[in-house]
Amino acid sequence: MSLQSIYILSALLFSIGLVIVLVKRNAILVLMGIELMLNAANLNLIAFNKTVPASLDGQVFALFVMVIAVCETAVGLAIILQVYRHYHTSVPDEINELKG
Amino acid sequence: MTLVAFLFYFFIGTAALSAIVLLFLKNIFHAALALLTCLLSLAALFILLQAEFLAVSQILLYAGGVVILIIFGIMLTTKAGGQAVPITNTGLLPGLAVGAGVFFLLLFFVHKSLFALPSSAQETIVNNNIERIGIEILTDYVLPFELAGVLLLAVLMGAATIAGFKHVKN
Amino acid sequence: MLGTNEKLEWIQLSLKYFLPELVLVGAFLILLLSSLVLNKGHQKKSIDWIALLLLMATLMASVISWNQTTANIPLFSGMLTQSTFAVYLKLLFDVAGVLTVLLSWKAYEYRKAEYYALVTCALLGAHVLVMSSNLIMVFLAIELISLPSYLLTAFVFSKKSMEGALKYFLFGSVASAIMLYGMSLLYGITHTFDFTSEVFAKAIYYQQTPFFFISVCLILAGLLFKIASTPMHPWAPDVYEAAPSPIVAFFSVVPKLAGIGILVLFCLAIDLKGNSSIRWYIVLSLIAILTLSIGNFAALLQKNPKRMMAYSSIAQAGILLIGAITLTNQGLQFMLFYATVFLLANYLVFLYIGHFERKSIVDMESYAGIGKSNAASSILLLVGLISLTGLPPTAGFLAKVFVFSSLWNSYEISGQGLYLVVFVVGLLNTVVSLFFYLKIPYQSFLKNGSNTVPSENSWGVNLLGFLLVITLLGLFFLPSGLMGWLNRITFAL
Repeated sequence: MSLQSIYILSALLFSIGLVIVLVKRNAILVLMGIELMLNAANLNLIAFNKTVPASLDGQVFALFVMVIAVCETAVGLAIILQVYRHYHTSVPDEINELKG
Repeated sequence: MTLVAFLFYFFIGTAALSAIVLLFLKNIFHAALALLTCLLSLAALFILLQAEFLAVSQILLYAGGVVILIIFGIMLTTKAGGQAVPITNTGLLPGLAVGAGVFFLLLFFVHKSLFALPSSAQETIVNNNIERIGIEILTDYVLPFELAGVLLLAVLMGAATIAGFKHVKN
Repeated sequence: MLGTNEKLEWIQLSLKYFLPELVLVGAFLILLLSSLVLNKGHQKKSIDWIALLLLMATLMASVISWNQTTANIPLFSGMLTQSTFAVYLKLLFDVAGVLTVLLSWKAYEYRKAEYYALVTCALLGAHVLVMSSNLIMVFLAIELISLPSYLLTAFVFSKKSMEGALKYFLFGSVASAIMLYGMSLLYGITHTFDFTSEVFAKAIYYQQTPFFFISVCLILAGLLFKIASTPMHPWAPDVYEAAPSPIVAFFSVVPKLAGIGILVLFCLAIDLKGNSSIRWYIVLSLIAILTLSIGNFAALLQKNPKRMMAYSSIAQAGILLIGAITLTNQGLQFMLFYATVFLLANYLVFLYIGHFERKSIVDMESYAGIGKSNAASSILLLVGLISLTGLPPTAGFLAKVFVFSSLWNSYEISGQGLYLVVFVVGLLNTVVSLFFYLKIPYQSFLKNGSNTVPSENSWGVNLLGFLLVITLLGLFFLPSGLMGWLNRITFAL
């Protein structure tokens, strides 16, 4: 058991999350990618907390991250739902009223 | 290899594998299940990292909250009885290149000292983490705790307002 | 290590300095409850008054805490630090909050109480963010601003506004996830979240590695998103076009200044009083140069006034960054002066953009000929735009002179060539900005439009606009009063 392998896993999850966000054309899937990125950070926080056994800062932070992840999902889905009602799709490319 | 070490690498494997699968799945519902697998493997890893409280929260909040919400979202945004919308990619190769670049960037510069566990017999510390987290949340972290409550209320109210808006036909 | 009893005592003592935020939380709850109680047609009008009174009360509480604060006081076990810098920014946020209520007066009637409750929540986030001295608080406060902002963008409930909200949400969540990952890496290096502490400073002093640089860059990405600064700016134009105009005014001031505030505090921490071997001013200068250039040149091409103001606010973020890059006392004081003027001028402009929008004047072309039918409104709008450009006789001119002169001073003292580059780019960009800021006045005064817009029902708007203009002109002729206030502010951590 080494923290190094945990760190490699978290870097992998973060990168995959980033790729999903960049590549996928579906708002709900992008949301999943964001969840992966948040979880990667959580994994890091908990793993690095092992090196400081005197405090639980990392674990408490991870707890707040979870709460905020739930908030983000709720907000995201509320908005996606309304977008779907207006556009009948949740594919960002087909949603193009605003142009620059 | 002890059982604990085996489980440790097993769950790292499942988490990594389900994340990679998530990247290439075409069906969005299957993608949600892959995400669920990944999150549950992480919960198992949290237990092995002595963060039992977080493991339970992970299962409750992520598996029970986020994934269910996402599945509801999927159901509400696909036409009833219709085929699920296939997930399309744009710029898969550049995206993968960026991802791989970030991955190696994050691994390349890592300092060895980052992973030095404190030598003072870290296994012998029998600490009741759940009790300690409870005390920390209500002393040091009482302000973020309360603010998180305000945030949850605001988000609950706001999300209900937005999602509940009915378009008036004229 | 403190015992539990000492910690509890600390919490009790902290509450005394936490009055404005407590008032805000109270305001949030009262507004939520009032939406339940006051749901009949004629009662709804009172919600504007309730929101105005509550935010006025917050402003009063902030003024009281401004008078109380002289030194830095750590609150809530070091989660927050009450400082004069933070309290001044809080005053600005509260003024912005009151102005937001005035701008949304009798408009956006649907779910008005919820609308104000979300504004209050975002204000609370901004208050906490500038006081933060702990990365947990930074993350939580940024989310406390962001999540209500995503929802507020959708409050027009039109097709466009939903799309803007979705884009804002996706971009913002990714930015905050990236920032969170950076924080987790930084935790691995320093083993503490308290970025004002000795432990943090010592840890980063011995580890000025590329790994540290990467983790700080990830955190900066999240903060730059809030400031709407390059490279995290592309959300701004779409969101500004989609959101209600009072909310756009709010977005362009409150999250931006809160972001700048925490960016300054964080940069002071990682700069180690100039002992850092990584030259952070280079990073900040490059960001400032890019932000200024992209903001100003993209603004030239815009047809919609709200999109133009989005790029303008990106460019203004660049000027605020110029005040911040030197991290000197003088530079930061002038940055706060600039921030004050920017707040007033920006609200003035959005007051009229919103006002004309209600008369269905949305495009740049439809402003043609308005100078004749709505002379007073157009002249007041002109003053606001002149102030944003930075021409006399408005306070915007003085603010720009202050910011650039402090940069010049830093250049003469340190001899850094990069400061000179920033100086020149900043001045050139000011010239560029003249062309797009004067587009609307050009249309309204010099073009003859067939557009005949009735000018009635605008005395309330014009009164507010007149007050803002008087303040802007007053700050030009008598800046010493405000500068006296700003001189009280210290920027030590």
